[in-house]
Amino acid sequence: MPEKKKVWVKVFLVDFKDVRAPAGFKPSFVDQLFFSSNPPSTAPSPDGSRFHGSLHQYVHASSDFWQSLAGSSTQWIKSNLRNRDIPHYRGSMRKPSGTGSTNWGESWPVIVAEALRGAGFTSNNYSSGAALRAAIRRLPNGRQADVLVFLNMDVAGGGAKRNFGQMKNSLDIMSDDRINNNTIPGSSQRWNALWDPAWAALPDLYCTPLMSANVGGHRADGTYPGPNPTKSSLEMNSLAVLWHEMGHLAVYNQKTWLDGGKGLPDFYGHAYGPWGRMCLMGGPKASTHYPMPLSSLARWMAGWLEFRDFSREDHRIRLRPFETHNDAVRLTNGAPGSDHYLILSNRDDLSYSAKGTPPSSKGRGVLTYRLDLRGQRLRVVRGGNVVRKVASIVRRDKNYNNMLWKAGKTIDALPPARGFFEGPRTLRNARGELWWTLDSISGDGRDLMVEPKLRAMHLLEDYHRAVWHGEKPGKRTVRVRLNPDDFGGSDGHVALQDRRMTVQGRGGKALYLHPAWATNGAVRGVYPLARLGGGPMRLYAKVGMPEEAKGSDGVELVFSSGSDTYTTRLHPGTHKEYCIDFRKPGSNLTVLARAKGSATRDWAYILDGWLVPAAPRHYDFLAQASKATWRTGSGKLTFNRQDQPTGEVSLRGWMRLHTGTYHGSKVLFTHPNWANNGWIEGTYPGDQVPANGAMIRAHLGWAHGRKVTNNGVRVSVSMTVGNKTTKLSTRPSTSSTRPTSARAGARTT
Amino acid sequence: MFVEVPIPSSAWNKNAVFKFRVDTDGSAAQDWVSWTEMALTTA
Repeated sequence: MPEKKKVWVKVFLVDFKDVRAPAGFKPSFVDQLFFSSNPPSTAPSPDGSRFHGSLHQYVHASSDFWQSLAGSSTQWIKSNLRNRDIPHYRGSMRKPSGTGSTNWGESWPVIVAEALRGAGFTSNNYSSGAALRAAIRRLPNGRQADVLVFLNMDVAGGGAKRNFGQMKNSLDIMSDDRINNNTIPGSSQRWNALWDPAWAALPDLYCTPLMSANVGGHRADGTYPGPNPTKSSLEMNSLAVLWHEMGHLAVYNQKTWLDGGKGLPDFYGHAYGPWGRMCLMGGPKASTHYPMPLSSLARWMAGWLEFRDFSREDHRIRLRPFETHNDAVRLTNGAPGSDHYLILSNRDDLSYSAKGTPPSSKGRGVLTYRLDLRGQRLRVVRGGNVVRKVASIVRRDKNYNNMLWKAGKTIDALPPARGFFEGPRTLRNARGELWWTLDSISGDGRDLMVEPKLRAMHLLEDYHRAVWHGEKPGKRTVRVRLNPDDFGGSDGHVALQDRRMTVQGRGGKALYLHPAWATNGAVRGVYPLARLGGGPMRLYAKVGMPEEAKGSDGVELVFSSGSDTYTTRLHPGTHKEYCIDFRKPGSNLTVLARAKGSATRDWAYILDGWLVPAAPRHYDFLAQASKATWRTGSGKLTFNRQDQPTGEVSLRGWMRLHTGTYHGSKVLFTHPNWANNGWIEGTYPGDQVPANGAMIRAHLGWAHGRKVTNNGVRVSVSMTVGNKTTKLSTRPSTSSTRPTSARAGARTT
Repeated sequence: MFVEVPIPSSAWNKNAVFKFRVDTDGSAAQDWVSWTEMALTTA
């Protein structure tokens, strides 16, 4: 349930000595543009451009009327500074470090300060800081504004959503001795003389030009020579940009656990993007007065939309138009509890031309994105920083205009496309697992019909597809065919129980296996794998034995396919979770429960079990680890030599990781040399990268029970082609690399 | 934690040497890392 909220906004209007606001852009127009409930459906702005509705109407409709905006704008506050003399941020600027001089500056802190000073909002005019802040926030109706907006005539700047702490910090940096342009024009004072300490406790702000112009010729210090554009050549800034910034400021992100704060994040950044014109927060990728819709992800984060969930089975789903129905379907796209999802919505394929021209539709299509709520996939971005990748649109190709999958298309396990460095092109999740394909998309008026097909197999729900036998060993093993859900007596039995005996206090569904009643008797099920399509498989299984089996001497539970076999031992009260990789599975998966001695009370449970196709391996670095050259800070290592102070690399069969899950049937264990800033590095022999593209996929964790130390590790993968080395991935040495117990709630898988 | 990185198309169909590295960044105490998957995949 979203918080029903009216957000009160105070808009400060500020212009400059050399760029005054054109006639017509009066406060009354800004009030209509931002807050009106009843503007004409299509209105001309004072510059003659056409636009649709107000910001309040946009937010109100996007939120299904849960949120509204109200407020008022000031008269134009006239700064005595020339806009051309204010430093504007440039990508070439560098903050001061060391002793050398540098250029750095931003226009927005100066503009905000000029607005407040120009209106007389400084401490010397008020009895206290609280009285000053109350006056700044006061609206004509007596209410206090929740957020502050500074619309301005900075024709050389852009929009910024910030807080007042950032404003002070920016002014201080601009005033540093090492900054070339560190004084207020016409004054000997530094830029931070504009700051008033009482402003620090003001609410968040957004500062953006109301008008746009292509002012060029910036100097290195961020000023520009002019002349400024004439008033008649100024155009109202794209409303998509103005609305976008208000998405940061006034749309409250209720998923704060996801992104850590109020305000929607940018969907063009590495964590979410790129979304282009498919979301207002995605750029916006079009200069238009007809702002694009907030996406299902943005609306879900704001608490305005609930995804429509579907179970893990084949479906034929009617997707209703997102724009009118807020309809977005969610499919679980990973192991239970993994927080991987696929989201599908039926979107209008809008094409934008001129600012004041309504977009035209190129038909409808399915927008599909992966959602990894814990951001478990990490990506290296420019500058070597690492971000958590939360959302990834499944794009048809690298063209922003080709994000929608139209009728007649299907989304299958496509290889990576040339030129793709960002997003997936398949429905595989971040672990490379193919839980779903979208086998059909068809149109039905404005609705779209989609047919997601489940590509995974469930050991419980699909147990009737397996062939089951009870086995009594002897000189000649006696095998008796078991019918599912049929009590086989002494031959053993297999049944799907809706209500099981409790395991570690928990009930629920279970596949119940009882070996044949004989010494070392067994029950065996053989699941055919043909419909999964071949290739490597991964099994996520939860197994256990009820406490009521007390008196049992235990059961051996075996999962096997091809050359991979895993055996575990269950005792009364046991509960274990497994992730088993079958690198080269055969045509069947065999599940075997075998009595260890007596079969009395040998009630084995499979509590959950999903077998899912994994990404085909072109080169298995893990299995081939012995062929790599391994070195540490202490020199070259001998493969599989364990517990050495010089470091270790060894191939283990099974390990329990920090999540509590047992992994196998191969785990590579690495340890740097035992020294501060130690390291370990494995260099593999050269291998031909497939001609149609490839992915590096890895999964790693900590051993279960690892004691938390005060630092993590940094993990990196690099590739050398010829003499050029590219760092493909790295993991920083931050708290997020520590075991689960180091940070409450920060589960990693 | 996952790594899922497309190989740049400039490297397709070329011979590449891959390197996996772990740095302790300070103390090495208990800095053992378990890899359950390390692969060059085609999808």
